[in-house]
Amino acid sequence: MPDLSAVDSLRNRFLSVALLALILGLWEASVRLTGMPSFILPPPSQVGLALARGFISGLYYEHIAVTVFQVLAGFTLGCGLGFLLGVAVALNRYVAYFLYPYIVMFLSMPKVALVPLIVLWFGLGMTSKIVTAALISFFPLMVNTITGLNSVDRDRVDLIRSLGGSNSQIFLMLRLPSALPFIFAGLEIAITLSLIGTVVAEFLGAERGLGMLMQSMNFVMDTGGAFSILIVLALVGLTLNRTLLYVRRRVLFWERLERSGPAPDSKAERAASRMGGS
Amino acid sequence: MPISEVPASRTAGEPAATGTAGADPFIRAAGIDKVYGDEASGVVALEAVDLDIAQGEFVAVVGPSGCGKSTFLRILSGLIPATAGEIWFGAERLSGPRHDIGIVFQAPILFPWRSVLDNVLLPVDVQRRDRRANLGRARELLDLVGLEEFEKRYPAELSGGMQQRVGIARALMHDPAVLLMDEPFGALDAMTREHMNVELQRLWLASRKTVLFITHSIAEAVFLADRVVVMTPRPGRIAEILTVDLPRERTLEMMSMPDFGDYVRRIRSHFGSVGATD
Repeated sequence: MPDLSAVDSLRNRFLSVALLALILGLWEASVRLTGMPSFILPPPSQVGLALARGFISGLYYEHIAVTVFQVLAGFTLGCGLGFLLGVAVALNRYVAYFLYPYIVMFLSMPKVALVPLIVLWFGLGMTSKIVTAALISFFPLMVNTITGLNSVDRDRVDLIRSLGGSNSQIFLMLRLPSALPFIFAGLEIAITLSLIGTVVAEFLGAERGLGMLMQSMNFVMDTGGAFSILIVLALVGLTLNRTLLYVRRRVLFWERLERSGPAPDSKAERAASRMGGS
Repeated sequence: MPISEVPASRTAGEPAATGTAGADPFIRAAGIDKVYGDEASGVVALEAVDLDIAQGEFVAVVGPSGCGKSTFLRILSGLIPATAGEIWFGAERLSGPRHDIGIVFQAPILFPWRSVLDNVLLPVDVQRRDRRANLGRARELLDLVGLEEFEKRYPAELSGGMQQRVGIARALMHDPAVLLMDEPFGALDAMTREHMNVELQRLWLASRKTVLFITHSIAEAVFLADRVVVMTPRPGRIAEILTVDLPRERTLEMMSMPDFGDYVRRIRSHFGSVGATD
């Protein structure tokens, strides 16, 4: 995302809200003026009402909790396994040689195509959703872990080796921290895919969850309700992403320092121009 | 001092003259060959390199790109094996990375997730020595390179020259017997570089470490070294070893004196067809 701080002002914030109001107003007006049936395209007022009703009646909370739990459980399981296998592939040539053909095969397969089978095997409960989310978040994390662990700078490896460091020291002190930016990029992809996988699995058969709720609303042509679930899903996705970004900024604190750039040479040299002089 | 009084140059293959007459060489490289690829068709990086270095001596190796000078440094550090020949540290034959060598590469290669102080302490961590007991020495070294106020900063907050100073402090942390420097100031601008040369000389006069300093700048080599090893490329071999008989402590003003110019011209004459290195 480009740096937008230069256009951020009180006036532009107001204009931004005004733009949203304008879009919603045009949507509302066009639906009412054309007499569009609300089961095809509901007016925003109806979507808003459905949203409010869903939360006030308490109906949405349980389904949100179920979906978020499934997403997080699958994400944790899939990312954990993806990380471990990624480490094994990056560190051991034999693992890489014998496993990589299958990894590439599964990598190019659209994972959602497996969801009907997973629901068949693991049933309508939470297990099938967790398995789907795990399967779908496994690959980005494994691939990024491998790439990250292999991206290490040779001079840094030589430096640790020249001091008598062991391979496990090189891994812990150098390769793992070097791989962290890649691993976090993988986590960001995985959390989004994990939500998609969970909702798709819920569509195909579930007892609870936002995907199931939306499917049942579609069934009774409550399109306003379905739209309100879309908004809830967007908010859930946004919250998960923001949380991950926050953790990333805390863990990879040095990235922020690198972006703001080093002090210019001349100025910094003046500040420290007495090397050996004391 | 006119050039005619400089000790006679020697051609590759002749026995090496030691820096201090009569003493056992501190480091001896004998008949070093290095071939990349297989021996019949590979690229010859080094051929018949003989060099003795006395304890406390500052030796610079100068030559254009591709003359194998960096390869020679890596062989001396034990990071890569020579194809033929032997390296001796006193009475000990080199067979792998020693733990009493400090290396400074062209890039500072600091660890961005470690603070300046933690970067200097890296050798302590790798060699599993007591951090607390070495804290005082780390701070002394930071003081020596003029960065005592920056110990809590991170590398990304420092200029290129300051980062390289941290690299030098780190290379001295474990009190190495030998300091190997591979174009340490090659990435710095000309002004900062001259300044760093002056500071390095001071640092060396204070510590009297044995230094092997690789550079492609003839002036830098003459300014810093007791002896300059001139290397020519394809295959990399020693063309001449020149003793620089200029008084210490050398100043930047000396660089414009006729003696200094004589040394520079004499070294440059080896690169006539290749052109000046810089």
